[in-house]
Amino acid sequence: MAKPREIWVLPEINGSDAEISKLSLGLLSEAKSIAESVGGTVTALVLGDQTPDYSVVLGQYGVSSAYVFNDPALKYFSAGAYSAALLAKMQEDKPWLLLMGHAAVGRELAPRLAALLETGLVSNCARIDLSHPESPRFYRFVYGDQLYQEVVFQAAPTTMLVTMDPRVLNITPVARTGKVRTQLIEPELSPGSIRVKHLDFFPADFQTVDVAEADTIIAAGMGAVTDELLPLVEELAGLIEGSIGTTRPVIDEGKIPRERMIGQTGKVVSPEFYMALGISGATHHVGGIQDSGKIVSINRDPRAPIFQNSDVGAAADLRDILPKLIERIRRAKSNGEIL
Amino acid sequence: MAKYFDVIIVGAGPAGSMAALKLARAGLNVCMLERGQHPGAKNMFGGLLHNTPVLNEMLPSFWERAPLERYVYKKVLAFMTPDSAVSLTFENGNFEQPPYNGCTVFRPAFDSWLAGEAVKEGALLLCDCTAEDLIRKNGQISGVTVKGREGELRGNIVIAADGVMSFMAEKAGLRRDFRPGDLGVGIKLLLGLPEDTINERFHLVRDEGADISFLGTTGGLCGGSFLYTNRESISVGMVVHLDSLKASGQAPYDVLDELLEHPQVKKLIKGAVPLEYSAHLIPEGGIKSMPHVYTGGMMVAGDAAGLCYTNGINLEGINLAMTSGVLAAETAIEAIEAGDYSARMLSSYKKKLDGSFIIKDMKTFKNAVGMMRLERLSRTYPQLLTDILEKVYRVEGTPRSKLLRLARKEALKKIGLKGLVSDGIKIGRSLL
Amino acid sequence: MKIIVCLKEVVDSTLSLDFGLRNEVVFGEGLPLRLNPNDAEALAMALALRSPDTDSLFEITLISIGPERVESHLRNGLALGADRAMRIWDEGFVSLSSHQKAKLLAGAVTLFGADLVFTGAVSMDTGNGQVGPLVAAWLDLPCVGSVVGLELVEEKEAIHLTRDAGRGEREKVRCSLPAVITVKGEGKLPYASLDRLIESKYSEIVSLSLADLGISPLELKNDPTWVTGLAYPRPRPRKVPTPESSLPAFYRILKLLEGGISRRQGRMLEGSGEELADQLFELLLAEGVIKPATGP
Ligand SMILES: Cc1cc2nc3c(=O)[nH]c(=O)nc-3n(C[C@H](O)[C@H](O)[C@H](O)COP(=O)(O)OP(=O)(O)OC[C@H]3O[C@@H](n4cnc5c(N)ncnc54)[C@H](O)[C@@H]3O)c2cc1C
Ligand SMILES: Cc1cc2nc3c(=O)[nH]c(=O)nc-3n(C[C@H](O)[C@H](O)[C@H](O)COP(=O)(O)OP(=O)(O)OC[C@H]3O[C@@H](n4cnc5c(N)ncnc54)[C@H](O)[C@@H]3O)c2cc1C
Ligand SMILES: Nc1ncnc2c1ncn2[C@@H]1O[C@H](COP(=O)(O)O)[C@@H](O)[C@H]1O
Repeated sequence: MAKPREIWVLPEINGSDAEISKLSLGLLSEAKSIAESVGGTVTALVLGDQTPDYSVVLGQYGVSSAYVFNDPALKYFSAGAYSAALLAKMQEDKPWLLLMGHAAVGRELAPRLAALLETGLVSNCARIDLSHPESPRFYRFVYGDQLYQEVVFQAAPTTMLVTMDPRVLNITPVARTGKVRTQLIEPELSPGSIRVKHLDFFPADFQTVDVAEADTIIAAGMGAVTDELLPLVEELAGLIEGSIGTTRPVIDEGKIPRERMIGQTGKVVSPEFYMALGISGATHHVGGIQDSGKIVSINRDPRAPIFQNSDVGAAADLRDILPKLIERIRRAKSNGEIL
Repeated sequence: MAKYFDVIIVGAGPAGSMAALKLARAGLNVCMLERGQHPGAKNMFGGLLHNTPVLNEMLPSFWERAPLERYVYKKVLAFMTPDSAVSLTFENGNFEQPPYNGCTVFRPAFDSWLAGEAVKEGALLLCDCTAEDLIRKNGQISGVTVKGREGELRGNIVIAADGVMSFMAEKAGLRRDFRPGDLGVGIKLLLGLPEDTINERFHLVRDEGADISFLGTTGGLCGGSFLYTNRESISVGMVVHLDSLKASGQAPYDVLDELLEHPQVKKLIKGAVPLEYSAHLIPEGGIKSMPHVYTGGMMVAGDAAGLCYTNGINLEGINLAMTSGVLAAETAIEAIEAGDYSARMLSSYKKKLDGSFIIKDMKTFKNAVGMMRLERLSRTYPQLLTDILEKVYRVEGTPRSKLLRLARKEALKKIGLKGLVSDGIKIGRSLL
Repeated sequence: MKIIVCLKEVVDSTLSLDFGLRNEVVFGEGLPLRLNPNDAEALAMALALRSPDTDSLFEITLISIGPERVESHLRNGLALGADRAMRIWDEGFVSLSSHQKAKLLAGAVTLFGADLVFTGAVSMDTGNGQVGPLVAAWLDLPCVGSVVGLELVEEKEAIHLTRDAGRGEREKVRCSLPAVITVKGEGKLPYASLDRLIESKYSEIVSLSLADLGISPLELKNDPTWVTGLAYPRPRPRKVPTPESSLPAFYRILKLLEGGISRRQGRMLEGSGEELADQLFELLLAEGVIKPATGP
């Protein structure tokens, strides 16, 4: 019988995080599901300085063991320090697969590790076909999600490196929580070898936060981004501390940065409160807002499909209602009615 | 490296590129400005490049090198009522021989190629450069400025080949404001369809293409519609007069939709994938609303000079643009030899235009659209029509006689006026 | 300071390419192309390092791997102020993987030397985002990814960078030189002046082959992953929330079939503009989006 395949996963856990990011939970879930289909075990990699104990959460996602790398140089992410810490262990254990997120850490770390280990990397992977576990096929989106590319590893690599497209990850805790074997590793990185040094940190605020992680979203569609309306949308977002999201045609016109696109080809969001302004409600868009708490829409067309996907709707012209709503909130702020 | 040019050409469309080619061949320093990322990037048209003698002459056997889609072997004229169609098909073996009588082309590819030929001869092409204003010296035009870019371009002569809205002609005071009657609007939908399907559906082999003109499908508006086959796509569109569109209060796309919904057209485009919608203006005022085409230091060519017409079946513009570009270049060469860029010197451009088929045809078809009344043509013998249509379709760069006169002449010869009227034969073939 | 900026021409995937991709050719001239937006941002960032009095301190070299066509982007870069441009191409190159391109670029960086190499964080068409970090790793250089800001400091051997640390967070780091940075942004380049634009048309573009870079064809071939096919995506594996187990089977299946798109019972607000604004305000309060001032 073949020995169980070792699946390593690197959730992007930050020592300073209050809670583990959705991306990390998604990665853990994905690793577990791969392990189940090929018969393997999941090992999580946690890097940091004085990392808190995450074993309870890891257990909830079916992780059986964890390597915790502790070193002052790992306090903040740098591809140099992280790869230096991981390299020896990877060369020693030769895991079958190392799974990362195609996000801040994985994007930089994965190619560096691939180069150091002389193996390959499938980046931004959307699907893994494991029907032949000895030669998995990896699928990734190219051309703005218009084509699917199939990638395979040539010959037998020591370790296959994969970064997963965050948009495809699902969070699926396992039913029975197991015990996590944790091994602490102190790589003792020499400070002189670290060439990228952390200086300062600017935490996300509602204006910069990734829409996928935002609690309140003000989404502006084509009906809300005229030169006259967009400043009002921004003002409203500022007043209620909402992150701005948008639809594809708005992105294509370059009015709002690409990373704020919501929907099937954009980001899947799950805020507690989602407000759709001037959005028609195409399934391409609505497919990405299903997990939202409350959905409130304003559209001047009373038959706009968005209303069927909203908890509350108002058929009104934004040019009329936005100034009024802003004025109402302003008034409440100045007379001490609200904070 | 020249920063002062013999000739500055604004617009790298067919008119501009042919002028540049001619001038560069004559060893002159030419600079061509194009506002698109590459020539043709923003250009569209129905899709039919008519046989143009100057093109054959300047770039012999161009069809072997140019990016052409298909040559037009089959011409169809379809008279449409809301639910039926009567059509005439005209196939001619001669159309299959070089120089082809017409080819379908994509402007982005064709315009780039044509401009490239001029560049090969030494013309300087500056893309992403929108001419903004004219520079004058001693009352004569002597250069242009470019939007958003520091500096200016100076030269002896400016050729404005900047298309129908020609801001250069306007800045030079060569044309009055447009009236809706001067302009037509062309709307086109590009539909993707596999090559084999096109061949099968339109009964074509290899590089053969079809050109279908529809009459009576413009929702009661003045104008006509067309369908051309490209290699892996078909272009369907229509050209309507701006004033009739305005009067009808319809949106252009709705009018086009009506055409697409016509049962006969629907059959032809079944299963096709919409690729691109586009709309463009067309100078349709005819000879009456042509601007002045020259002034001191400047000439105007192509659509910019209002050189475009339709006789209801053919829309001709590209061939006129290329020819006028070459004529403007010839005039520039003479002027540069003489060292005289005055209006008087450049007036010979107008004479050259007048002497060419361009102005003659434009005069001939002055009121062509009005004459292309459905009832009249639909009552004629197929044989008769093919004879006439061969003459109509064959574009040889020589002046042609007026369509109706042609029809009458041929008809009288064959069956006599009385027979013609009373026969009223239905041309029973449905569309293809 | 010797700077290298890598420029890639990409297929403009903001446009609908459906038919073009399926049939290889749509508009005769092929797919719509543009300079990778991240690379445009990188170029803008590199050029911005210069000011009239520091001009001579920087030497900016542009490199692009691609057929002759890509020279238009190189020339535009020259017109905007880069000092020289190189194009890498060789017979038989068709489409190269990130791994292969990184090999070529690492070769070029070794050959010409650089204190700072700029690449884009990711290319808009193929989206690998591997080239920059691979070049850095092979040349044993530090690499900072998703850079959105750059500052020169007193210290000659280092720079300060602001990077997008994900989830909207930003981090400022000090990076020792030489280094590779990958730049994120939608880059809009300014228009070059007419004089510079004309000059650039006559500038020489150094053309480099595999042999010039001292790389053997075999070495280039050696790529650990292969692209084995292109296909039309199935509907994107969408997040389908597991239907509530309390629902009858029929409804659970229905929910799955809807792909997770569940209709909500839209309650429509009624009233005049003022009244609507009031109701929306109350709603924001009720949902806790805005917080009532507590206490009397
Ligand atoms: C393959 C593919 C993938 C796609 N992926 C995505 C995706 O991931 N995300 C996405 O968002 N889209 C996506 N789209 C595009 C999607 O199909 C829709 O075109 C898009 O979502 C529509 O955006 P919109 O609602 O902003 O614009 P529109 O459909 O133009 O709607 C504008 C709305 O604003 C209203 N309006 C206008 N003016 C006012 C006013 N003054 N006051 C109030 N209301 C006003 C109008 O009534 C209208 O309903 C995709 C499309 C394709 C083909
Ligand atoms: C729907 C439609 C169908 C048609 N069908 C046919 C047909 O089947 N056959 C036919 O022969 N003709 C047809 N025509 C007409 C034909 O397209 C034109 O007559 C022809 O393109 C004119 O060529 P041109 O070079 O004068 O102008 P254009 O092709 O318009 O070229 C002008 C060029 O100048 C550039 N430009 C404009 N302003 C500036 C500036 N300020 N600075 C720099 N560059 C500038 C433009 O980008 C463009 O490249 C059709 C037109 C339309 C709209
Ligand atoms: N053909 C190329 N020529 C020059 N640079 C390239 C090329 N391909 C990729 N790069 C660089 O590598 C970056 C990331 O590319 P990719 O790994 O393909 O996402 C791009 O933004 C470019 O800066």
